[in-house]
Amino acid sequence: MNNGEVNYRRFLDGDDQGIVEIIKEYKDALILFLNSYVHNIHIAEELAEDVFFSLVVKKPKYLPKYSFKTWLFTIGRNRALNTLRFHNKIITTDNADILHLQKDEFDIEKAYIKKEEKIHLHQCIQKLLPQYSEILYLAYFEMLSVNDIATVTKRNARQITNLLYRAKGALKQQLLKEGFEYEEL
Amino acid sequence: MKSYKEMANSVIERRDAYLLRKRKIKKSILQYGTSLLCIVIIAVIAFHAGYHQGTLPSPNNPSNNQDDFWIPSLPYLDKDTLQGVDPSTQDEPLDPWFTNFNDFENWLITGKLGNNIPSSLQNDKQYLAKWVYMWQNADYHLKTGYYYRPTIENNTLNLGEIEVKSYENGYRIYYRYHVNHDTTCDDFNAYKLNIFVNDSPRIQEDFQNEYKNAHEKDSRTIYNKIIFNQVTYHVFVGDSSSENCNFIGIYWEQDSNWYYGYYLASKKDVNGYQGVIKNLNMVKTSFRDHLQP
Repeated sequence: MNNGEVNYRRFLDGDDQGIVEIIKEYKDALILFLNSYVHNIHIAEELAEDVFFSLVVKKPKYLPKYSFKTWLFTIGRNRALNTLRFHNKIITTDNADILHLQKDEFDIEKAYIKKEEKIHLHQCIQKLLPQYSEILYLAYFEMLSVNDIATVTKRNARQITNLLYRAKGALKQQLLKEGFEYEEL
Repeated sequence: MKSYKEMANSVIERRDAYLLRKRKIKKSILQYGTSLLCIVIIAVIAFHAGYHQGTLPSPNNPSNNQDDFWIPSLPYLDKDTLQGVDPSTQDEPLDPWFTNFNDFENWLITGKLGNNIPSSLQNDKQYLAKWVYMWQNADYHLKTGYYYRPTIENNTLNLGEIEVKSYENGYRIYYRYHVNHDTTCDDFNAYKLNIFVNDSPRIQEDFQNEYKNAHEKDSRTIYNKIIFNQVTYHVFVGDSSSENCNFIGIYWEQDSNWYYGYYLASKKDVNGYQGVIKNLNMVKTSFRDHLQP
């Protein structure tokens, strides 16, 4: 039983501290993940809050078939896609806010990812196609398995393997373009 | 960007506000739902009460069916005060014969007819007065249908039924008097008062001839002509030996319409109620044959 699951059970039993722990543990990761869809860190933050809000209000049933993180990210992805579909738009940002957004995004990257190289890597990932950045983030930052990524993104494992292969190629091109060399790739 | 504590507080605050709102909505739904349910129940009860009133069995009227159902709209006069007027008459108030029932009753008993009324009619004359009074105050523009006015008098349940038939050139109104007698336990139906309204000269003539003939044939038939409020009322008290029945007849002209009525009383010496019914129906048929427009 992972921490998320334990804390969620605590919350379901009436202990609000459980949801506080969940937010503490998954907030930043979820925001960064959702940001790969909406490309606006503040909207991603609102979406993450909405995800936690839906947890405390609707109290959906968690089946331990997947990890808690996989389950939570799946909820988040659905919400992000619903938001994009509902508003039928690509969320745009005023030029004046871009610097501010970049700073906030960098702060949360810094807080969550910590290592400088990984921060640059994350920034490069964000510049890729959404389907690439989505699975690369899940694979290399959240360390989800192919099966878990398939669950979150509602694809099958083979598709994820292929996508990962192509995404890695695209990321390599992006890194070279920006003057980086990332040998681990 | 929010810290995890801020986000957790925000989530919990939103949750509390949401639950509060939900509770309020549930409470409102319960309150309004209960009120709505009460209204529906009252409406259903009222409808059924009216429905059953409207479909009372009527032996003299086999055609009584749901299509004839009509919500009572006649003025329901209070038994004691005889107050109460159909709202539809308020806009165009009629000029009644009398401003109160007692005046009319006194007129009927002592003013003109007095002691000439046969003893068998003494107890029933009040009904004539009531219904003529009611007719005077009623909305003339009645539709075909049935109107019920249940009363309890002398420990008996009386279901006064008025049948209104509207014709092209007038109305015909029948008053039936159902009595659930407490000793014989037999329901019976008798015509107590029929009032006809028609502007057909032929009917007027027929009606006058009917009473003229009755007057000539039966010395006990009494005729009175009363002028009141510039209207002449022709009143008869008859005891028809051939029909074996007492009656009071009345007709008058008002506003270019002729109004006719007869009041049939039970015979003082009859072989049971069936005899009364039979004889009353004979009289009724006889009148109908002559007065049918």
